Amino acid sequence: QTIRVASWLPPTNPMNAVVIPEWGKAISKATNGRLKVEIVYGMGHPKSMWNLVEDGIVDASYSYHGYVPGRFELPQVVEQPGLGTNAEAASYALWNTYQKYFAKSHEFDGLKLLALFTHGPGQIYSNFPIKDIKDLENKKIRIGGGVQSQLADRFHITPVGAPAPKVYEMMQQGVIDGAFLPVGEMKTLRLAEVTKDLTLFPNGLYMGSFSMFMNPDVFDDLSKQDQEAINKASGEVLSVLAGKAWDAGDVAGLQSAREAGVKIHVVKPNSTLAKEVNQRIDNVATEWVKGVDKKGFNGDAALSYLRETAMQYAAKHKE
Amino acid sequence: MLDSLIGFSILLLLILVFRVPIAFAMGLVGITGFAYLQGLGWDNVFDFRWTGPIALAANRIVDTSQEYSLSVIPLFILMGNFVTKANLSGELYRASNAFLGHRKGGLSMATIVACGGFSAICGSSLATSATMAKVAMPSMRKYGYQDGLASASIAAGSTLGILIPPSVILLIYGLLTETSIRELFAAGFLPGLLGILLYLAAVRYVVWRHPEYGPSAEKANFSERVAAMRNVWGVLLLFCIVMGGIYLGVFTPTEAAGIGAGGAFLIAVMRRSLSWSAFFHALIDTGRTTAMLFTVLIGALIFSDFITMAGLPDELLAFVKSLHLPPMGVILIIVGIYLVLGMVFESLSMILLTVPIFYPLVQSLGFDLVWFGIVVVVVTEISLITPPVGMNVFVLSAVLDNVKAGTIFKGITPFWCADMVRLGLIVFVSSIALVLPEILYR
Amino acid sequence: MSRSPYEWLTTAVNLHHGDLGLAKWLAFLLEAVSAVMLFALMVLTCSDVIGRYVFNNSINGTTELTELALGIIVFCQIPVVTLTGAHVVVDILDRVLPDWFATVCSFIMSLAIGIGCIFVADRIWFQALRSLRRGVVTEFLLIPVSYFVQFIAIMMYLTAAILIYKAITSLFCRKKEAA
Ligand code: NA
Ligand code: NA
Repeated sequence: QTIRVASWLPPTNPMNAVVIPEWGKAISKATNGRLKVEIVYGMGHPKSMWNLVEDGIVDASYSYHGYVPGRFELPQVVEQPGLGTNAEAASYALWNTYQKYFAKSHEFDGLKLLALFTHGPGQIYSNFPIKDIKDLENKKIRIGGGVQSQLADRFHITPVGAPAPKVYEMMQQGVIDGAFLPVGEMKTLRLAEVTKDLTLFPNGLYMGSFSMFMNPDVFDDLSKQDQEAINKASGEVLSVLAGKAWDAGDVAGLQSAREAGVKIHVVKPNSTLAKEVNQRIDNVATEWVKGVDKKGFNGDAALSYLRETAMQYAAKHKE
Repeated sequence: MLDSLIGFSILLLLILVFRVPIAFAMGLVGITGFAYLQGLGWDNVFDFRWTGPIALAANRIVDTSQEYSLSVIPLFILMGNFVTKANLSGELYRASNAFLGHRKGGLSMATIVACGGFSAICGSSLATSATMAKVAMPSMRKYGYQDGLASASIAAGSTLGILIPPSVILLIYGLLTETSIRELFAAGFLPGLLGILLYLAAVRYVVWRHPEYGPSAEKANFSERVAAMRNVWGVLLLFCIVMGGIYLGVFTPTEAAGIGAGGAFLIAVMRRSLSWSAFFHALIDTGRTTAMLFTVLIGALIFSDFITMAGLPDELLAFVKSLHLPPMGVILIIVGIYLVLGMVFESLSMILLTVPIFYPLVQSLGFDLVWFGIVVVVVTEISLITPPVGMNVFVLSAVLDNVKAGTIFKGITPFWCADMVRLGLIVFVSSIALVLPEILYR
Repeated sequence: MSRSPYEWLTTAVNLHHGDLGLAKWLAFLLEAVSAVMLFALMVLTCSDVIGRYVFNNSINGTTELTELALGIIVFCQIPVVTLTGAHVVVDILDRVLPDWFATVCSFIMSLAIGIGCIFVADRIWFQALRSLRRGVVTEFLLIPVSYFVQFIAIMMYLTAAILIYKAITSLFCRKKEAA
């Protein structure tokens, strides 16, 4: 039997080159080849992926929570500025925090949640140098949604919402002056060709959360053994796998940005720019906590737990 | 392979024999085909779980009708309608006639160049055909051009923009194959130009065989030309702003379309040539054409979802591999497959469906992926005017009330042949595509 | 009638759809809404560009307003296009096939597609309620998307009704169409 996973990022993106194939290999091996995983492309806008899976059009998929404003508030726990780890540690922490604090939420109703993870630290791609925080004001910057809307507000930029695969076209045509993205997209979305400046903030400005999910009916129809195989390859394992792949993508992205001659500005932690930025984004997390509290969850506790878990994981896995 | 082939056959049967509107036919085959893949049979029609197939259609309908990048379609059509309703298009053609009318087929040639330029910037072949049909067709008729030649010039000319940069299709190809988009854009330029030249040659051929199809007028003298220009400079300026604005990155295609429509509206109002009734008619007409285009697009997307799920792309790859041909033979087979698919597919879905499957094979044979991208896009362009489902042709026959699709298809044959010549040249002389990127970037 | 203060309205309605009977009022209403939305979309896009270059301040949420407007423009018109039979068809074989065949086809296919549209409309309505329950809104203006999806569902129901109505009348009005 084949599990079809709908994908909306290019075939070279870590999701399609590493994460889904490795997940598939693990399942295939554990089921002696009874289950196979296959990627299908071109099924539409990333925001429809949740519907495609819930309605049984494809068996599984993954997507970015920011593309459906209002529906997935809780995973944004990982997006709040100031986390300071890589994607691998953050993804590990996100999965466990969600299980511990938000398991009762209805966000993933109608879906079997397979993984929760984040891409690498979000940075600023632009066609102008950023020396001062005022340089950003009134510039048209692409944002992906989620916590980035808050940042846009704090930086007084003109936000343009668009899914990542559209950024090349928009940069090239001058629709936007810059974009919030992790560094890996320099390579996978070929943005090194159209970006002049890349500003790297210490630990990045934000993280961006994804989930991977499956149709529960398809899952229930499988034999107990096969279900077990999927469960074993998913959850924490898959979340960490994905986070790791995004981290590796960032390394490759930075490399291709260098090769293409993109001007790379590394912002020092104690520079004026870093301080200004930190000041502006100081209480972004408070807003999120307020929203989550209103929904009846303990946002503060979840956020601290996530940060602690991520730090511990990062310390344990350093080299 | 069988599932897809049956799907194709039923679709053709519905469209050609049962005369079902294309959009509905594609949607119907897409939904039932998908249901069949999920286990629908004669015995379980009523207890089958229809949710999946129906939801597939529902999602495509909701998403496509609210897709930002498609908003260029109504806005550019609106621009064309304002230009026409204010009778500016008549003056445009009077001007072209003053400059080119003394040549046989001159207006057809002007139309091809205009359509090529317009579609190059607006990025949508469908929007270009719909817009230019309103602008060009009435005037060409007035000057005695035969319907087939006139409409075919518009339909063919509008396909050129897919290749001439900026091109969304090339961009998507670049992302799918990890090829430099910059190089792809550079590579598209000469083949696009070649396309225009060959189309012009096709017009020359038609008027050589049938001089009465594109009659020549008296040669206008200098003062007549100046007088003709005086009336149209406003509209020409608007076209320049719209085209230049996109090229220079001053605004996006959608914004350019909005500015184009707003500018045409202002020009018409200032010249007091737009009555209230004409104003409303332009708006309503635009909405209607837009709705027709969107229904067809949605239908095409549903149908191609079914084909994706039926696994056609993988099977095609297996088929090509099983033939054990020399490299060029493989390319020719792939081109052949594209031409066949082109009969029923819309350009974007064809690229999304097949490119991820074929490009690793092409790459492993040692071909340049930039060059292959240009080949694929040229074939895709051709598909827009290939019967039975030539999207540009349908748009034209839908917009022009009294021209039948059959007439346009007949008129388009020489242009289609010109395209095949171009395709052959690009396939066998790869430097036509590769010379510019090599000079600029390699 | 000719002295009615709304004469201009009747004239306007009859101008485009005089032959549609009572349905002309519905067609006119839908077209008017789509026309207004289209003009608003044009003005919005122009103001956004002008705002950006002249006042260095573009309108937040232009993208999402554009998307919502696009949906309204398209779905106001789809029932009208269906009513007037203006969908894109291939007419290559028209002259070869007999008249009775066309009538039978048109009956069966309109009915089948009309019924299909009801199911699709049902699903769209269901999805609208679902996303309403889940609180899906637009990014900047926080407009609940589901109301616009519900509008699309209603227009699909209307399209379905029109198709079924046309299927039934196609059986009785064969001569009239031929004339
Ligand atoms: Na173009
Ligand atoms: Na075609």
